[in-house]
Amino acid sequence: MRSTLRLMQKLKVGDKLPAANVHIGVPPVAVNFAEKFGKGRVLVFGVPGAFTPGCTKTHLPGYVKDSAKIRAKFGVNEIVCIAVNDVFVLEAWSMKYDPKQTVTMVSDAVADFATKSGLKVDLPVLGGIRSSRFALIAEDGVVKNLFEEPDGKGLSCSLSESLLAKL
Amino acid sequence: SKSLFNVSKRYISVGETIPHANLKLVEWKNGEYATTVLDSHSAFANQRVILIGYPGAFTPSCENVHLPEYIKRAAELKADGTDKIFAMSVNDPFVVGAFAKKLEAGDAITWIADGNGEFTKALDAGVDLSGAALGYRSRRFTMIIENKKVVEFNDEKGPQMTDLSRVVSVLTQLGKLKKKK
Repeated sequence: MRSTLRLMQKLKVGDKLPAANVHIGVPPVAVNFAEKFGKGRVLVFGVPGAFTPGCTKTHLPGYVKDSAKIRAKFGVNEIVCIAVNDVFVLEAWSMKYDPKQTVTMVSDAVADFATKSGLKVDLPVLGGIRSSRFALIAEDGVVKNLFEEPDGKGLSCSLSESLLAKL
Repeated sequence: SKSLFNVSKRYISVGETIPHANLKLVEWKNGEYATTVLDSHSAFANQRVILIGYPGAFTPSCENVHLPEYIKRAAELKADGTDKIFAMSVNDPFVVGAFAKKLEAGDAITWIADGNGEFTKALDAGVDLSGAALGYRSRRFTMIIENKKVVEFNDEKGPQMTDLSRVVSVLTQLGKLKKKK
């Protein structure tokens, strides 16, 4: 009973990373999110859509630019970007806006992570349920910090500069 | 393998009218891609158009083989009574705009960004590509549509790319249509 209630609640500090089915790379390799990123410290940020203006001009570039600072200050081994986009779209986006591949792109193509974490937003202009905009830091699979944009898509608390200033 | 793809048993047929659906159109205007919304009946009325269905922007066959040859021969396709070339996929307008830019398509194609799959479902032209990490997508197909009626339907019945989808096949069919008149 308790675990069912948990599934319906949004991910929060102290929770484990969801065991969501996602894909990485071209050709796509299926991974379990919790298994793949469950060791050490990792920063994960979610974007509503590859190639959309806010994600492309602000959110992703911020993490690309601040990658070294983020790794140093927060001791994270990896910076991960997750989106409800397929691996081909994410690779094209990554190649254009993160050519040195400082960020690991994770494809949540059927919104499994978004649904299981509750970090989701309905965006009809894009076609439906997307990842909300958020940033989290996890250590050994447990969420230590989590910032989700209040409206799911704004550009404030989940930006790299905001984390660097606040934490 | 065939088991990966669930294809609807009911396809739209030659002679049927295109169903009504709201389309997000991505078009080249003043040096950039802009999105507008228009219903399918308005979009296809009183014209002969080609409608290309493809599984996904930035996927290998779509990017390297299928779309480029239609873009390259757009002028030929549109000569002599064909007004527009539409291309549709289950992608959002931002992804489609970026894809069109990468292909350097200019105004050759009017793109339908069927992000929620509404039009694909209405046409019954979908295929389940969850096994390939893509989800619900359009099959690969080409249609020739005259005043909203399907006059030719070349359906790959899946995501595969065969000679059926090559631009030469459509050019041949267009040639036969013109001879009829």
